[in-house]
Order: sequence, then C-alpha cells, then structure tokens
Amino acid sequence: MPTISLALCEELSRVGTADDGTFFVSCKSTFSKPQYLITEYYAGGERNSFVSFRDGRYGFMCSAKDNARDCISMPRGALDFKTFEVKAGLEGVIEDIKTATKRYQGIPADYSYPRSARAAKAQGCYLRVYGEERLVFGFDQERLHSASSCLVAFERYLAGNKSLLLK
Amino acid sequence: MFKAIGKKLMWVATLSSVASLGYANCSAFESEAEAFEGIVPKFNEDGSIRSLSMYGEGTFLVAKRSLMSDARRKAELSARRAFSEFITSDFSASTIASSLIETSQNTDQDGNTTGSADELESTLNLMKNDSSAVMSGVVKLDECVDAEGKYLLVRMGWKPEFSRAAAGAAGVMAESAKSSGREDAKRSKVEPASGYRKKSSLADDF
Repeated sequence: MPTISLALCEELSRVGTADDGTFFVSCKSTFSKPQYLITEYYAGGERNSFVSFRDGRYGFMCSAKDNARDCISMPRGALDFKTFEVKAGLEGVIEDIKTATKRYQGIPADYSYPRSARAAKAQGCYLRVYGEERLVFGFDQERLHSASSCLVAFERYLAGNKSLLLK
Repeated sequence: MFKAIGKKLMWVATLSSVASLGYANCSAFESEAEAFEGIVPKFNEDGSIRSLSMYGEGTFLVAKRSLMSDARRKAELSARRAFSEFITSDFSASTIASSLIETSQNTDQDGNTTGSADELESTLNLMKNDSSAVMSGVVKLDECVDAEGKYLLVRMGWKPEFSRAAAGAAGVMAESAKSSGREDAKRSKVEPASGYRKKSSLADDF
C-alpha cells in the first residue's frame, strides 16, 4: 500500500524596506507520482532555481540563474502526456499546454492556476483541480523550467486543502 | 550556539508566516469581473456601445516587489495583447459583433441583443481602421494583488470617446484621457507582502 509523506513546501523569507528581501522556497512532491523537487532562492536582483521532475522513465532537471536557464531531459523524454492514478480515487492528467484554451473552456475547476488560458500560455504551465477526483497539469515541452511554478502552486494548494490528502 | 541559531530561525519563520498571511484583496475584483478571458462589452441604454474591458493576470512565486512588478507588466501586456488581437483579427466586424452580442446577453442585465449589433459593428469597423488610435486610448482601470494566492489581476478599458478624441486633429481629449488613466496607473504602489486593490476613478464610468 503506497504511503504519503506530507512534503508540501517550506518557505522562509526576510523582507526589507527596499526590494532587498531574501526568499527561500523548497518544495517536494507529496504524492509519489510524479516526483519532483524544487528550490527557489531570491535575493536582491538575484534568482537561483532548481527543478527536478521524474515521472517513470520520463523526466528532466532544470537550473536557472536569473534569466539563464539550462535543462536536460531524460533519454526517453522530459514529459509523458498521459492520465494516471495519483492515488486511489484521484486521477492525474499531464497534458500539453497547447490544450490550455480547450481545458479552460471546459468543465469549471474548483481551483485553477493561473485563472485564464492566456495567462497559462504566458506562464508556461497550468494546474486545474476538480474536486477531490481529478487534477490536471499542463506543461510546455519548450519551457520545462516553467513547470516549477505550477508544481509549487499545487503543493501550496495541498497545504490549504488537506482533504485531498486525507481522502 | 545552535540554540541561538535555532531561536533566530524560529523568529524568521514566525515573521515569514505573519507576512505571508497578507490580505487577499482580489475577492471584490473577482466578483465584479465578468470574465478573465477575452473582451467584455458594456452597452448604453440606447444599445450603443459604452465600453470594452479586458483582463490580464500575472503570477509571482514570492511576494517580492520586483517580481510583483514583473507580474503587473505581464498582466497589462496580456490584456493589451488580447485587445490588440481582437481589433486586428481577420474576423469580420459582423462576426465579432455577433459573438460579443452573445457575450453581452450573458453579462448585460438589460439583455441588449440585436439592437446593439449595428452600432457595435460600425464601432468595430472604426476600431479596425484606426487601431493605433484605439490602442492609445486603452487605460488601466483596476488592479489587485492577492499576496496569499501570489497573483495579480488588472482590468484595462477602452471607450469610444477615447478613440474619437485620439483620432481628432488636436487629439487633446485622447491625451487627457490617456494621461489621466496612466497617471492613475503609475500612482498605484505595491505594499510589500500584502494584497491590495487599486481602482481608478475612471472604472465606475466604464
């Protein structure tokens, strides 16, 4: 029987009077599929980011320093667009961001990040949660590093909606 | 020594959690917004077009002011791009007009339908013919930041008066309308780590 360790995100920040705050965000996948690890660091005008995403034989790692990004995919590919079981009773979908408009025009979600298809395309990913039954991730194969914002959003959502964990 | 570091870390964590509580100030904005996608038209009682609104959204990972500024710029650009795509699209004005009428049936409590079509169609044709003047008449009407949800929403708007004025020889009215809107936009300052809403005085007239 699969066990769920409550991973979610850990965040620490130090906010100054000017734009010189320091922010650390560290998130780890709560569910076993897919597995990911994200670290983000912001200080002054500097940003350091790392994302590791693993879904069976598919996956990628991305590192970003300010606007310079570097990603490497696994030999089989970075993303496997598919429907899978996250846990009993919870279906997961990983799909291409190209379907964003269709997805947003479809059944209304209980939680959507971001709120519009246009913003999703600009951001490079989306997350839609349908009750406690279904969650949909939309990722961009050309902008893998963008996936991190939606994965962080998902872990933050889980932190405030534990029913999804406890179901 | 570790005890001291631990204590300091606890303080940082506590301050962080207090800061992250913030105030979600987008709920009023969201309840007033009729859509987050596309163009939302409003009509006068006589069926003529009163204004067009469009919405933009930006997200930020942490409530850092420069990241919020980036998100704001993206949201404004996104709304402007939606408007630009709308007026420069290859669809005929009549097709767009019909589509907007359908939208207005959902959004307009007065249920203005076919009566608005001709007026809307001619307005759209005017807009297409002078898209640069129209774009210069787009002003920012509303903005909110949800620090907890880490997103920012903006509402941009356009009125026929703005375009007519912009297309005029002197363009005085357009400049006045434009600058009044932009000044409002520039005045909106971000409060770090908390949500806010900044609504332009122009918004109620749209």
